[in-house]
Amino acid sequence: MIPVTYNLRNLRVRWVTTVMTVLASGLVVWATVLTFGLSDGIQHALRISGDPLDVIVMRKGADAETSSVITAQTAREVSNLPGISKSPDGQPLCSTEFVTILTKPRRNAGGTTNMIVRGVKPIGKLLRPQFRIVEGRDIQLGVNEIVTSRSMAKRFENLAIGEELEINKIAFKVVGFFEAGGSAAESEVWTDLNDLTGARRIQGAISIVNFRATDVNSRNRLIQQLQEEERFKLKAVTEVRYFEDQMSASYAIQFVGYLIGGFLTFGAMFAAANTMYAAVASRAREIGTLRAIGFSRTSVLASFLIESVILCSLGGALGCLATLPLNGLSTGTANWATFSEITFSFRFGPWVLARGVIMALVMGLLGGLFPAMRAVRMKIIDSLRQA
Amino acid sequence: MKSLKYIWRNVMRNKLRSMLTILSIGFSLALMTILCGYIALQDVWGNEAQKYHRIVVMSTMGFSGEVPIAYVDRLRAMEGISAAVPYAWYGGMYKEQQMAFAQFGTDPNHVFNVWSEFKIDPAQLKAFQDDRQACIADRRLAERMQWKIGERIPLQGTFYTFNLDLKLVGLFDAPQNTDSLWFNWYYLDEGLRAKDEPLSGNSGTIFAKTKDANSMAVTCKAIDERFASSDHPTRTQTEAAFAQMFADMLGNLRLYIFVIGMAVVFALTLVAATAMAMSIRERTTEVAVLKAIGFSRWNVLLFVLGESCWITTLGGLMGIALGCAFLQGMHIVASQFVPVSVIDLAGVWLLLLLALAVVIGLVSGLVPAIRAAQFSVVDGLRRVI
Amino acid sequence: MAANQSDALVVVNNVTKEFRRDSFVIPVLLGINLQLARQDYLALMGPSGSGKSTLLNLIAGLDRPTSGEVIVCGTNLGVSSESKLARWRSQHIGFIFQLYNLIPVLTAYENVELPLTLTRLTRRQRDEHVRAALEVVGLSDRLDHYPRQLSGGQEQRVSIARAIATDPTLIVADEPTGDLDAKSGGEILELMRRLNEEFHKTIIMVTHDPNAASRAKRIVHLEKGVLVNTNATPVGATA
Repeated sequence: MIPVTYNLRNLRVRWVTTVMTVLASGLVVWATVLTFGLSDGIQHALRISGDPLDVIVMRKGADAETSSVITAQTAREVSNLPGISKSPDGQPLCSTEFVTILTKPRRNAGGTTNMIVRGVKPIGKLLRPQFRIVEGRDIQLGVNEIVTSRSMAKRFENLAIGEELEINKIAFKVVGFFEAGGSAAESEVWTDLNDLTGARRIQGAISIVNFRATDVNSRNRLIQQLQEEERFKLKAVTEVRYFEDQMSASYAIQFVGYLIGGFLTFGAMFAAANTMYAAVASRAREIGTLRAIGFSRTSVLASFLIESVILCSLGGALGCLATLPLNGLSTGTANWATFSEITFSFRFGPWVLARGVIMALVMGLLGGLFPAMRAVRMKIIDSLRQA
Repeated sequence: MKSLKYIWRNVMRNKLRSMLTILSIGFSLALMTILCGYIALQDVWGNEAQKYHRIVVMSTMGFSGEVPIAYVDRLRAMEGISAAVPYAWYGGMYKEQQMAFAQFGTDPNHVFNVWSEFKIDPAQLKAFQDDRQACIADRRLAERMQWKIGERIPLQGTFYTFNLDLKLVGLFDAPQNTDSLWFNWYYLDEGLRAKDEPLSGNSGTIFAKTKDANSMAVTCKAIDERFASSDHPTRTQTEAAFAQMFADMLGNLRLYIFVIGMAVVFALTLVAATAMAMSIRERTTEVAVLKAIGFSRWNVLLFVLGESCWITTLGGLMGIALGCAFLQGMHIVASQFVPVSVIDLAGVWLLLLLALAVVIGLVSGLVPAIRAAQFSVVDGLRRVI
Repeated sequence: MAANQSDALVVVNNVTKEFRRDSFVIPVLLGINLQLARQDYLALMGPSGSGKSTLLNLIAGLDRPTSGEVIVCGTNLGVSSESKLARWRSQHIGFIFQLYNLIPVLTAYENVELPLTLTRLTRRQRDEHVRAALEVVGLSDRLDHYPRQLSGGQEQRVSIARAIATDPTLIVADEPTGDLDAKSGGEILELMRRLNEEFHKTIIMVTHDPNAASRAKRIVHLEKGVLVNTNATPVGATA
């Protein structure tokens, strides 16, 4: 084996070329990882939204909360079923909610898009992971107040604390911001159930029932009962399933990620090959000398491949590192399943970064292969003679 | 031009290196072409819509609000409007598949007056009008789903509680793939009313055609003012603005693509600059000879810049060709995602991409060119001796 | 046969040249005085490092003296700007290098045409010049050959054709036979003699080969930056 320090020295000697190639491969890795960071962000938001014991009950045939309607009678019957968890003060952990979509303008002239407004009763907050008010205060019932998340306030007009959002000509005052562990709830505006249905002039309307089962067995039993029993005939799915089904938005972005990754890997691979060919050409004499000393073809091949991989891995590492400052940056896009905006944060988890590293390795190996083979094929005598 | 030949020969001097640089730029710009093509795609509907002066009426609440069916007749009676139809998004499942294609409930008697540019066989239109359960589809959708005329198409409602049992009676041709199926709105509404559903009587949205383009803004305003104090106030906009709403829903797409694009462009500049610097370094003596013979610094600068621009432009051409081929391929195999042929998608943006390639050439060639122009003739010649 | 300053083509007046390498100052030329008349043929001899190439570079307008003046064809080269010098070189100087320095990607024809592209000649006039120059060096049958397809002697002849194509006032040659075998070298030297006698070109040739130098009309020796016995007349001179 030719020692790796030999490669490192060479990379340092032609440091301008090295830096340029590292930066170039770093940039393409960055662009790719960024895209996967988006899709991972969406998936994460949707994945943590679902508690395995929580069940969403909708009208049969409805594909999202927004297209579901349930009668108050049915909702009451659901909440009285055995097997539903109880809150500390003894109430069933069962929330009847009304969900509607409003088309509202984004901030900074970003056009209009749809936001989800959810009317809940206080019990609903217990069903969301780590729901807590982080700024301002919680809503009071019956006085048309709303709370939302910080990222929603950043993305939509009229959602900062103190501002007013109009729902069917009635003004709702924003009184606070909440957090819910980064879940899909943070893409919503929350208000009192009765205030919202009142404003929409469909008093007593209910979209869905959301409850927490005491354990997995009763959860499964309840789901079966709700789906099959004649008096219900509802659609009941676990929250986990429900949110997984909404991941289509992230698949599109993931496709774009693979597209970007694929094309740019090729692009950067050729760039790395260029650098390595130049390295091989300028070191013809050295290669001849190494071979003359007795290093095998394989060691020469390995040495150049290693050099190429080091070159691109440096870029890959740089590209991955450069995405980290964006970790947690909130953004949003259309969630076509609910036909509304989903806000989420960039997330560069290990698997996302791994894809960046794999990309760098691929471009290093493929880009270095042909130059390394050229180095191996050189005749010792010829390369020694070369100036 | 004598010097162009020399520049071209220099491009071809190290064929492998030039080829690799061209490929590198080509693949990256192919990606840019695809991304920009996707943006252009978002604007196609809007741009296309401007030709037909249609307007869209929706509830001020957005898509979850109600636009009463009675509004359609009131619109038809309004001055400036030549045709109007309800246009309700059904969003049903077909064979357990969600959102396999778009389904709209509309009025068979007037729909081809609103979409007057769409073509359908008169006999098939008649069949659509005569049978409540009839439906028609975009020819390309039918091809994709392998439907034949007479095919039964059952749709399971998600938003609506009434399931549709449709029969395909005709195919229409639209300038671009709409990926849509049209059925009779009244068939849906009767079904809903029979079940006493609150959603009955809702036209969803109303599409109307105005008599000419100039009156569109006035008509929109007149409609909204007319219904402002009713229980169901409306928000009326041009079809182009309506299309823009959907494009807007994707959020910071443009910004995102811009950021990716900048990273790619910057990377490419580095790639091209590295290759160019390597070439010039190997040619130190030759540059010195050129200068000794009497070529000025400017000449040398232009030789180098010319060479780098040649290479990046070739890369740009390759990339645009590759990107367009990819988009066209997507159009053929997945026309629901890329409903438009590249020919219709092409525009100034392709030229801008090519210009971008030239700019990358200029910027990447600049440092090597300046170095070549500046280094001393005497030093350059000394290396020979 | 020292020429009068007035009709001298090349006047080198008390020229010194120093190079700086980091903090070192290396004096290369120490007060050179030299004059060259039209149609003269001067051989500049001296051991390696004596400064002969440096002097040649100064006369060819590739470099500027540290002090003193170099006046060639009536132009004071020390005070001219870089771009002016480039134009001046294209009009007045023809170069012949030891390693020929042809552009490898251009054919013999195109190499000779290269300096002509800097002139205002039409395409046709350029063609005439190129063919005439290649005719002189006897390579009319090698127009479309690339440098790598030519022998060393042929390459040097192409380079001579390139040097004379623009009809320059002064031809400077730096070891023109240094890389050639005896036979090819002899041919090149004969060619240069013809340029001087038949075409009345003024030539300065740097060489350390006494045989080559003996073909010139005049020889000067440079040793450690100083000219010695400037008036020595070569054996074979026909003056």
